Amino acid sequence: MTTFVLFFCLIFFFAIDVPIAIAIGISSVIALMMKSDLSMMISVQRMYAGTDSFPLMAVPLFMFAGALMEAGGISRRIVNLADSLVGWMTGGLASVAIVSAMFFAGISGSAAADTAAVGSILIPAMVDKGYDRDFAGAVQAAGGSIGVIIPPSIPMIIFGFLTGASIGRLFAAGILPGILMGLSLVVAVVIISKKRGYGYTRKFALRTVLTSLYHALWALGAPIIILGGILGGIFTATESAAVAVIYALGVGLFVHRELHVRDLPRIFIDAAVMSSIIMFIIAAASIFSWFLAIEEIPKLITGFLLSVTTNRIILLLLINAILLVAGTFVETTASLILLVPVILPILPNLGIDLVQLGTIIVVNLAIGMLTPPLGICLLVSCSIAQNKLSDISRSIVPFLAILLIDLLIITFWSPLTSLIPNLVLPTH
Amino acid sequence: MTTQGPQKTIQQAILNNLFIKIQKTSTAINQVTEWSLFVLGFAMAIIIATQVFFRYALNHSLFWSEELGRMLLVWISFLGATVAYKRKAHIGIDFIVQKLPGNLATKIRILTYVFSLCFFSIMIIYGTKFTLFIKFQKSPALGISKSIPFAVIPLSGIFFLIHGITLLMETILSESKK
Repeated sequence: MTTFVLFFCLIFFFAIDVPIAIAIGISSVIALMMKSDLSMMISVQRMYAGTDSFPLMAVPLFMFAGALMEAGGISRRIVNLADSLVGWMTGGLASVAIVSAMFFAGISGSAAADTAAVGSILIPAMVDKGYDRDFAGAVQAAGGSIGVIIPPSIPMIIFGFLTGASIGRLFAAGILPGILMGLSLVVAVVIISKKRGYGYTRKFALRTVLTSLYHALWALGAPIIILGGILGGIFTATESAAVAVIYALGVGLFVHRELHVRDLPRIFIDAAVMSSIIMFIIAAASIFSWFLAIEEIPKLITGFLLSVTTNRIILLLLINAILLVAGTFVETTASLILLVPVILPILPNLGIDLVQLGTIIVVNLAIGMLTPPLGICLLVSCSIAQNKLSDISRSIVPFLAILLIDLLIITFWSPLTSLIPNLVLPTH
Repeated sequence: MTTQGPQKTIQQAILNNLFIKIQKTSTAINQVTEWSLFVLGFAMAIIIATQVFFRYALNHSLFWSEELGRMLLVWISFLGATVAYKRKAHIGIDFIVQKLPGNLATKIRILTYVFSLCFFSIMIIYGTKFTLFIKFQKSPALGISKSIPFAVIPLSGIFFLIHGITLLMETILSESKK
């Protein structure tokens, strides 16, 4: 009964546009109120305990690092490097948008931040060169979604926090799938650009590649520190994020000198607010998942799923379908917290390991960021391209199709996710 | 009608006056909160980076850095969430409400504020109770009262409530002006 009330309230509050965190919080509180007064005390305690975590500290820290790099002129250097690498291809600028987003994904842990950072340079550039607005916006949104696949990745940090999976291994597992997604998107871009008749920006020249590589060296240092540090076992994900913040401050203030001390408060405040939106959802959802746990709901749902089928392929497809639908309508962090406890008990029946499951889940949610009406990457792109959501939504379809194929490959071909983690971070 | 007219304008004036006062408080609180976010966020990055530095360069692990960092994280998360609320930046699912006729949409918007205010009141009431409840418990590494980190929940609840009342009154007043 209380569970029914919980889900009824949740859907009702979601539907009338109560902010997601508050909707989750208040529905859980209503359900708990039907139990006892003591549980109300515990619910505030859960909110605190939900955010009091060392791994989660990486969320604001990676936001700080990304925002500082962006303000320090790193995006522009990365775009120039990508331009020298792939600008010669048909639909050059659009490929540059994807490849830049891949590089930026190595610095930023958020797909929305990735889309905004690269898109604010490349969407206007594409429109200038005669690309259609809807195509420019769609390409950038698709590229930006890789931001949460190539490490660092905030959804992966949250997955690690929820399941106890090693965040280092999760990060390592995201590298190859991220590259696969990026390259397949570039192929799609070239094919579409041939049809639409978009040209290239420059002829390929090794000299230009080398000069832009030289200029981007400091920018590329950030992913090397983050990944190298974590994969080399030198520090934890949280520590790597703090080191990245200091690195970004140093490079921005003293090397590139494009970061100004007077801008620091604004950068830190805005990034802290961005991360608080995620953290507040985690806090409120901690009450929710506590309630589910004491009512043994995940067990019930798992039992139901397994009574339908125990075939691992059907189960995997089913999980993907559920995640895609959830990713379309619910914000990423909330989807993770609501669904991971339900999916986790099925893991032994899936024939994959925890890290691969995490990667599959995050890829699904990344695709959810590209689907209307709530795709965050789509919305960011839309506002930069000053285009209608419905137009961009049409142009995103071919990219979605490609990413769904990638998703199937990632789901059913485990070496893609296990190769790098097993190579650099073997489990004992 | 003639007797109701002036009375209504007086009520309106009192309400407007009250609204301006609350709005000012809300803005002032928000400014202080934003600055503390900068200070706390910067401190958190420095503390965790120092932890790495001590471990590798000085070969000496800090015992307090992790606990302090986690406390800062909780403070940043809840205070930041109030700023996000003030900026209307919390993510919601608005495509159903957007499709409704303007009049009904406004009524629903008012309803969402009322529900949110209930949640904030719970954060304040039970947050305060719990803060007092754990007054004598000491944190393991720093040895300070556990009430200190926990107090951010009732505190942010108060900030949320003030911002929420402002947003609610804004909606109601802009509706009554139409």
